Amino acid sequence: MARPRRSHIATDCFLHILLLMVVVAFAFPIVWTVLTSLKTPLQTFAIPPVWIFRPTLVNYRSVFEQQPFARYLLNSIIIALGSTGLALGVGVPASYAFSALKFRGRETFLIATIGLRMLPPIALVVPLYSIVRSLGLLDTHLALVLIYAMFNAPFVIWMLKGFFDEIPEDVRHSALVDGCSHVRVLWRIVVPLAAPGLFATAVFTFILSWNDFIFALFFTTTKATTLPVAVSGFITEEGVRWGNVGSGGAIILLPVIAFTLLVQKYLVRGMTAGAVKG
Amino acid sequence: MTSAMWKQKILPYTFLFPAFALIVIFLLLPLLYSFYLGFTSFILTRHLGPKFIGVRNYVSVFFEDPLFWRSLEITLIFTLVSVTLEFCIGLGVALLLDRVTLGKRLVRTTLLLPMMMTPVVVGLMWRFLWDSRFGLINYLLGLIAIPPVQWLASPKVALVSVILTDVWQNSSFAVLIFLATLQVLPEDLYEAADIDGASAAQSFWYLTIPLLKRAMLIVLVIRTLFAFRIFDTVYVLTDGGPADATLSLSIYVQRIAFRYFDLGYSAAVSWVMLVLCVALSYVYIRILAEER
Repeated sequence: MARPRRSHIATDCFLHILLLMVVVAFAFPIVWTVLTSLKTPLQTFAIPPVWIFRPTLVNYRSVFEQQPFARYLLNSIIIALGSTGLALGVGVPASYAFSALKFRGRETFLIATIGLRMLPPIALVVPLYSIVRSLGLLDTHLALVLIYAMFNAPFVIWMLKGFFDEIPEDVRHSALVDGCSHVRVLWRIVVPLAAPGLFATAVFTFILSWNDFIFALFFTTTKATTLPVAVSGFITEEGVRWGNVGSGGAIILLPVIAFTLLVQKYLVRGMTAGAVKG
Repeated sequence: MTSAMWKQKILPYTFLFPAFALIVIFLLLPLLYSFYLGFTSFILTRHLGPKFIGVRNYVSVFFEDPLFWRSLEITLIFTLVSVTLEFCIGLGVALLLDRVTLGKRLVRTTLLLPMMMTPVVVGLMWRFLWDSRFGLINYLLGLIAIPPVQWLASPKVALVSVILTDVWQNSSFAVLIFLATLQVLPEDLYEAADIDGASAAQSFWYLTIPLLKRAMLIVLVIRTLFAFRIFDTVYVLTDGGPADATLSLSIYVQRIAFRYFDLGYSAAVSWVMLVLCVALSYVYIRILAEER
């Protein structure tokens, strides 16, 4: 939105400097974490801080050697992928129903689904703990897959509904008139047409599961531990292992940053699914 | 009714069934169970099962538990201050970014990253920055002759550090929403205002602000709901300490359940929290429904 204004060079300069400062403030902690991950312990604690140094991968090696970090990484990937698949599996037909079908209680169900997204996860942790325990699912991948899929299903439904709503009604109608069933219309027409939206939704759901800490913290002990819980374990009685926090943190953030760049143009929809119409 | 009609009628529900089955089993059932637990005494280390005690837990929450009130107060202060700061910073940065042209895409991307980042990692990153001995913040302050501050260890300052950490991560969200709206504002309105002789300040106040109203609501409400439930960042920054100075409601519930194993009481406190959230969401849904 370039508004015609008599802008002075001085104001322009000032605004750019101000923006530069903002960018530094936003980016700096991330850069610092990555730098820390590449330092030796001595350099990590140096005051004044070391800015220029020969990077070492010692912290990356040690997280994988001192701990089953590779397994935690694999756990995180399996659980995030599994729950994303399940959330989409249940979310796609539900979104189709909300978007294309008329039925009693439609509005009520829709509103209830937004409401569910507003619940604080901690309120679910205690009762879920008892349920997961009685099912014998504590410290299993399956428990987290099911819980994340449940927790993210409302998000998936709302975000996908936005994409499904964009497909012209005529496209669906002519297929139905030609004798296609709704299942076929969904599978053969709606899903392919909304593919970019589906992909963006999947990426967001993956990040949501990947980032979760609270459920993984209480429902896993050793076997199904995910990365966020593993790095929080670097806070020890003797102090925090900052080098490992840096390398572990960088490993966790890498896919998050890559995926965010990938779905950048859908960020507004992803962050406000349910709040803003489609 | 023919069987074909019947099929048409139940079809939507079969489409909804998988999602709702999952939600009922893993969300509604636990909520009901926790509602029941709230009226029982169930301490894992002492009792074999929940014992019904009526509203005893709720009486304790409201009348005998100063820590609950303190935790509520801390959570409200945290929510109010961080959401206000995020709102102002977000609006300011979005307006700035809207006027600047140099390297816009790269800048935009950088500004949007923090909100997507894993909260635990953000908390740990900042724990290092806030560290009183090895942290960069005290070092930088030292350069301008400010003595070291116990950012996370002093009960007076810890909440400030937690708030600033949250502001760093979530101002991003406000930037995103405001920027998205600013970019679709009708340009001709501003041209008309300019021709009519409106000053920049006037067109900001009488055009931009009203046009941003919806975006403002979204930022305020979504951020309020998420700030109110803060857990991850606090857990790794301070774990509610020092001297309970950063004890958010989520941390408090967790502590009752997993440190004292008092499931009955923690269920009661979480239900109070739930009711507060539902009340807030209700207001929110009403406002958005009116807007539509």
